Amino acid sequence: MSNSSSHKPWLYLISFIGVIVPGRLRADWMQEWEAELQYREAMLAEWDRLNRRTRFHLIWRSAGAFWDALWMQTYRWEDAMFQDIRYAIRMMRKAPGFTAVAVIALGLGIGVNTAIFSAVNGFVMRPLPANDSDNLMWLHWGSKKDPTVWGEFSYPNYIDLREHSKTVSDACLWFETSAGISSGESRSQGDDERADLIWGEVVSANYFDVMGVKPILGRAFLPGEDLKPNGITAVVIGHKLWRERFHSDKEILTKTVFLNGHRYSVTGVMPEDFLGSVFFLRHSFWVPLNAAQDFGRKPEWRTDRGYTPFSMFGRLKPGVTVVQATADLNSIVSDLAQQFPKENGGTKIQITKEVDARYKNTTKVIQYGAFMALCVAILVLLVACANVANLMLARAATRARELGVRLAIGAGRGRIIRQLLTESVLLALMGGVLGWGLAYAGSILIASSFPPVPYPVSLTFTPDLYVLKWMSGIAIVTGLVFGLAPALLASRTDLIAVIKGGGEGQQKKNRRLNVRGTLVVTQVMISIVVLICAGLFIRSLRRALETDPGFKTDNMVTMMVNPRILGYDEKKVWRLFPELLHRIEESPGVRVAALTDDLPLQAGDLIRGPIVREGEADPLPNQGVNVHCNFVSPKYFETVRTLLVLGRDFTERDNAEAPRVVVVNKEFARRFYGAPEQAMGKRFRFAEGTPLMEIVGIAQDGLYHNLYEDRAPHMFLPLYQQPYAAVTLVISAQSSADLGRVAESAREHIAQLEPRLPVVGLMVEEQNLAIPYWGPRLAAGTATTFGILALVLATMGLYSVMTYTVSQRTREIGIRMALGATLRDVLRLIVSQGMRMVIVGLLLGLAGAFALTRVFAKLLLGVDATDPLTFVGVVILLLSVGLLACLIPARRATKINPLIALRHE
Amino acid sequence: MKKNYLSYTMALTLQAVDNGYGYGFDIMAVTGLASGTVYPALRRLEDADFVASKWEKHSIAQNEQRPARKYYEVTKAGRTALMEAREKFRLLSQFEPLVTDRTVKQKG
Repeated sequence: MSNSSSHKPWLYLISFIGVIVPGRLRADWMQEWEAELQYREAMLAEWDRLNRRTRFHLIWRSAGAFWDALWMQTYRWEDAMFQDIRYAIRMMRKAPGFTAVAVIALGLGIGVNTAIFSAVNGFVMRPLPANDSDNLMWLHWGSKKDPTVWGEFSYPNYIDLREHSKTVSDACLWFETSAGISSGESRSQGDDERADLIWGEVVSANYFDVMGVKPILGRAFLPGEDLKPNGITAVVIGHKLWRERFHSDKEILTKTVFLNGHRYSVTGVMPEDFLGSVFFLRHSFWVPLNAAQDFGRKPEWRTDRGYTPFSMFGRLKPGVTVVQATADLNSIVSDLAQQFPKENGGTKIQITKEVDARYKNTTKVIQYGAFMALCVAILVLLVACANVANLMLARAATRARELGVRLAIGAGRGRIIRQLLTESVLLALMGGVLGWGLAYAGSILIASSFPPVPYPVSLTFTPDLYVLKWMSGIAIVTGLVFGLAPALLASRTDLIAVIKGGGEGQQKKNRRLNVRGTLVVTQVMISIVVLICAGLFIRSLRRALETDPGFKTDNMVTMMVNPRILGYDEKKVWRLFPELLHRIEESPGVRVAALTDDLPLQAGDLIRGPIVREGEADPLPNQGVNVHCNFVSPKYFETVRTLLVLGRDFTERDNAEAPRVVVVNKEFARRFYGAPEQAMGKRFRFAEGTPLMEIVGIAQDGLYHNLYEDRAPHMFLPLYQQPYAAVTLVISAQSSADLGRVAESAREHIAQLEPRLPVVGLMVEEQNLAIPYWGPRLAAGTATTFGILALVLATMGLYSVMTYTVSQRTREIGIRMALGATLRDVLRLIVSQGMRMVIVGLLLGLAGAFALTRVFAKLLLGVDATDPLTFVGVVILLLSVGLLACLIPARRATKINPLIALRHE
Repeated sequence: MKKNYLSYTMALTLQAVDNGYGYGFDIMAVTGLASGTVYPALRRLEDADFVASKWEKHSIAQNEQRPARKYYEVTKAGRTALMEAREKFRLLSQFEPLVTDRTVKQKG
């Protein structure tokens, strides 16, 4: 450095700024700047221009060195960071036990979080494969009286709404359907090729525009293509169907296919990731609305304003809010209500994002459940973090001497903190990698828990990039949070005491133990809460399994057939079904067989009504009561073992020519007639002049849609009086040993009667309950996993703290024993210290659980949120595990030899 | 930021170095950029291996009783990068005659 720096302000400035340049670059840096400035100064002097203005300019120039020096900081960071990381890895290798435990604890916490987040993502949040799916709205229609409505639309109302709306840029209609696909004209005789059952949608021509997706091959529908009265209809097929059935044939656009026996020409192929409108299904075909009749819609669908089979998606104009659009549409609805009071009176429209409408009425429950699961997962992560923080604290204590020496030879506090933070972030990242693996395994487990269903379910639980980002965030934040506290404590180490070899300063010890104690208390508290959740969900599952759904699946085989996909009309269907049942009942091993549209607990949304008792007038529009129903064949009640409390079952004589009859459940009888006895023989009809139906039987109440529902009126209509063909064949075998044979012979009978008819969804006995029980099972399984994890982590934490305490108190215990303390005294000393923490955590946890479980009482089936058995059970479990975690280190303490312990110092 | 991304100031600095202005303060003089801009630009260029730095001969510095100056030279990679930068920043080519026109006394 030049001597002149003292009287030349620019050079002085350089040496001042030079302080912040990283050490190894400083000399070089200063020389460069000084040389430049001095050279410049000499130049200026030579030109005789070293006046005040140029002097100031020189200072100004040298001030620019500050930016240069700042930029050099990046070198410093890289330097130190590499050093820190190298050092951290070396320290981890030196303490493999500590590293392993910390990484495993974190990995479990992060893994559980990621798995749960992926699952929630798959169910609730993963967007539809539409363009700008965040702004895809689902419109619903229903009675003004209901707070939320989930009904669908009629075509004429759709046309009016679309035409008059100022806020909706476009809207499309769709409904989901299945079809048999075959390459030949299936009505022709002698064609024995079995059709494939595929799922798809019937859509308005602008459907793909609204979804914002273009086909990869061919074209989507043309405007007005859904209005063509006849001729060959267009079909757009899905990528998977194209690949698997047509072997990715590029010539597909010249081909015709047969859906339900009708001819269609393929006009386009959708991209692989486009799965249709239903978020959990992969649809394979889309046909325009003019084909609606081929897929079971009434011929008058285009004109009947009261016929509402269509779902509506829409897009709002830019800048329009959901509230504005809802107000706009509802003003159109009230105009329509004046024009068409019969169909539109008392109705309203509700607009929600597609994501929010997925589960309709149950959305809240499912979102709730998902939210609870996320909360619990985060609690588990907290326990894991507390655990690792404890480990880090213990480790910082054992490393006190090392850190003390580093401080003593000149390391700054900031440097030490950065070092420890690097170590904890590194640990968190390793935990993150492990967690990623666990999450992957977990998502496979969740996916495999999904019951077998005869639908093209497409739910993805695999962690995707979205989840990866989330998880990386957790890992880093975790590292910073749990690394910070120990780092701060460690850097405050009492230097003199440390160098003297006394471990750590005496007065610091208490505080540190308090931090550790608090962490253990927190862990115990959280695991109590999580364990109680788990207990409640397990009890709830047990209760669900015990609930009588009103039918029995013992010795039962079911399979699904739908002759309509071969183009059967009602008459052909009604000829096929009785013949099929006769043949099956005659085969060996079969007790009785029947047909139904849906099994109990899986019933769809078939609603009929409003109910009008004989002699009464039609209710005002949208005022009456609609009731869920099933279509069933004769002997259905016997087959599924549902008790008829009064009256008779349907017979084959209850067919299309016979007077209309109906079987209702007890709740229906009670609601409409006061009691079952009074309902028997009474007649009612649906509004709008439908024929009267006589109540010929009263069935025991059951659960028809899900395990959570309340008792509700329900009716059973004879299948042979209804134009319905998509049925489940239910066969009750004489014994469970016969099941395989019975299923096989049923398939043979179907093949003999109609070789082209596909049979799907073969299920045996309680497989039929897999779907309705999936939710409670998953909840119980997840909660139990969480509970066990939390318990293991908390126990680990307690154990490590107690072990540490014993090691720290070795000398004290030695003195106590030398002075005459018995083994029992020592045991009591250690155990009572540990159990004090457990009991404090226990009490806090119980209070928390009382508060929390109330919140999710909705999700529990027949179990009180403050179920005493669960609470007591969990308390006993935790106390005994806690005692064990204290006893082992305590026993080690009793083995201390006073002589050695005292000589140690 | 990508390591070999060239901002306009970096490209300008590189151009100046290529035109023979090897010293930091000379670059400031010809480009009119501030010292707090030129130096970080030089550091980045050096990091990207577009320029290399050398110390001038000690004997020269000793004669003038001042510390040796550091000067910069464009590397092969730097020349390629400069060609590309001139495609991107058309103004750079306009800058060229200005530089060559100016008589730089201190070079003599």
